[in-house]
Amino acid sequence: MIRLVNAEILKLRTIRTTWVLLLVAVGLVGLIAVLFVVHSVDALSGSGIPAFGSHAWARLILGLSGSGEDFALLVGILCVTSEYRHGTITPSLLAEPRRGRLVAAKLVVSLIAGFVFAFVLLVVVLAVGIPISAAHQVGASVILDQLPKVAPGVLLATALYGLYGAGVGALVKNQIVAVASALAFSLVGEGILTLLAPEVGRWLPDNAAAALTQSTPESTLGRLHLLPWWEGALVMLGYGVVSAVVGVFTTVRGDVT
Amino acid sequence: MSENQDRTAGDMPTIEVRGLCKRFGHVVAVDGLSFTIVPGKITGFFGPNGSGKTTTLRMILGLVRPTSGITLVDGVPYAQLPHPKRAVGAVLETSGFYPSRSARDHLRVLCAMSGIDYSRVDAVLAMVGLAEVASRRAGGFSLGMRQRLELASALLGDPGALILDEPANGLDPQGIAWLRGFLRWYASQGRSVLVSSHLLTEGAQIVDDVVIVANGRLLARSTVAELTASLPTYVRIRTPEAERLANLLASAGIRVSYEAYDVVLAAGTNTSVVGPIIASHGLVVEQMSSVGGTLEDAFLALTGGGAWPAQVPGQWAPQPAQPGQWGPQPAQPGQWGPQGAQPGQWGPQGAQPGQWGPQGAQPGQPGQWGPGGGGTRADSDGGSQAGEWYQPR
Repeated sequence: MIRLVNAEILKLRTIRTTWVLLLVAVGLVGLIAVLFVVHSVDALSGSGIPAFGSHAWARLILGLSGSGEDFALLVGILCVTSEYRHGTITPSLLAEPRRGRLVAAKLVVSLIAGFVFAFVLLVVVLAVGIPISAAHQVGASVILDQLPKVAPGVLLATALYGLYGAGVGALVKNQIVAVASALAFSLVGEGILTLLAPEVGRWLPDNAAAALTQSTPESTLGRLHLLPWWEGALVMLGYGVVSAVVGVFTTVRGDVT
Repeated sequence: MSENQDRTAGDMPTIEVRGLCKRFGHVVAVDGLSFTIVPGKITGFFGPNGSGKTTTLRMILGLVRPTSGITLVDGVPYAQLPHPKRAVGAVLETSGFYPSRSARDHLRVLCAMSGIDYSRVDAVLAMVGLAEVASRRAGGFSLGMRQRLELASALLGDPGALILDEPANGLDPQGIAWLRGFLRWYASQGRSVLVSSHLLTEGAQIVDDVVIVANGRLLARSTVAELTASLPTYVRIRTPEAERLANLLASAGIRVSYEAYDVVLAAGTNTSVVGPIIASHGLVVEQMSSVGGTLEDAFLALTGGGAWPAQVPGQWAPQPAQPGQWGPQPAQPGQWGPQGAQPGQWGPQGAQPGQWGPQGAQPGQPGQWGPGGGGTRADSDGGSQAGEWYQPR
């Protein structure tokens, strides 16, 4: 199994898409962080943005690294579906004919990939937030002090998002369908569902992950009671593992022609 | 290594197929196929397009689940092999490469999955002549280079058996010649080679054994020598005096048939017999050739390709001596023969020289070709191959 996990890591490392996704995530989160920090310097009280230099403000900056969740979702989906899209599933299954093990390795590697994405993005927000804040007489310690409170949640949530993506990929092996439906659900569908039925919404992936990061500002979703963090983690794990297991016994099991 | 012990284990079959069936919806792709592949030989897996060859190979490799029946590699199903890449290397047509991954990384990934040392990567790349392009993205490879890369990946585990599905596709003539030599060398080491093809010309020269299938059923399983020995040879003579020649040959006790109104076929004889008869009567002959006895003939005969025209379109020909009575006996009479082919339907309208298929019966749809109708011997012979032979004037 370790052999397969190493092989899957090598697969992700040797394709361009992984690096492009990471680069885009870094660029996007970096840009948002710059805009946010610069804007928050002059933000008036009552605008909804916590006061510049406050603890809540520092947590908000660090929480921007949680934007990597959707990128982790994509990496997880691609980890499975690109094999079908490019026909590498044939040589892969020749090397490892036990399909359940192959999918299991992909779940593990997507989890790792999500973790790595979150780690890189945390470094990015620190690299952006600390110098700009320092220029406005707010020391690095203000942000760094909040790191232990935010980082674990972000790392775990993003990692679980990667695993969830791999599960989706195993269930829907058509890459375009999988990416489109997962993104549409994550970015639009979950929000609508949460508005309509908050009691259901809190069990959806995005809000389960939010339970980990505690990143959702209470002012915007005041009515929503997030799950306890550990429940959120189990729910995310459940989405990934259940869809992967269903996938192994349905789509992945099918003939490779 | 245990693999080496297996290789020297004698006649234990490397690959075994027992009662294999596969249905895709209503289409029966493989229908009760059984055969074994033994080490030290190159086995040709021949059959027309759509006869179930690829599906069979994919079932052996665990990629396609049989509807019924089993496939064994070294005595166990593929998925239960402890080291699949060391047991079998496969070159399949639909295998893909991640476009932005280099050839070397593609092979490294497979090494990592199979627990094979990375040092094998450059070794196999050198074997197939891709060492210089190892760092290039596989997405930019030509068809021939992809085929070589595929072969390289098959060789990674130094396997005891090689399975190749239409390996000559995309290879240039040098590549094909090289592949022949390579497969011969591979088999000579006591390993098994199973190579599928719909073309006999490239395969006939190197195979020891043949498995011939059509419509998912086994038509023949034997050595090349056995198969071709059973075939009669014949002489084809193009002459404006066809009727006179036919009568002369018939009176000499030679069975005669017509391929066209000016082409006479003399069965079971050769040019050294026919030549003197022609000369002694001063006949004009435009062309004379000796035909038959090759693997390709056997293949065409078995698959209803009709190398043996026995029926003559009445409007063109005088009375044939013994129409339809000669020709090789089919292995399983009645199970083969293109459907719908009728004597007399063939002729210029279906002529597509060089193609297989019942052009006369269904012009322009060679893909529908195949045994499985209940055609009789004479039907299939008359109809199926006529287009290749008949030259309208």
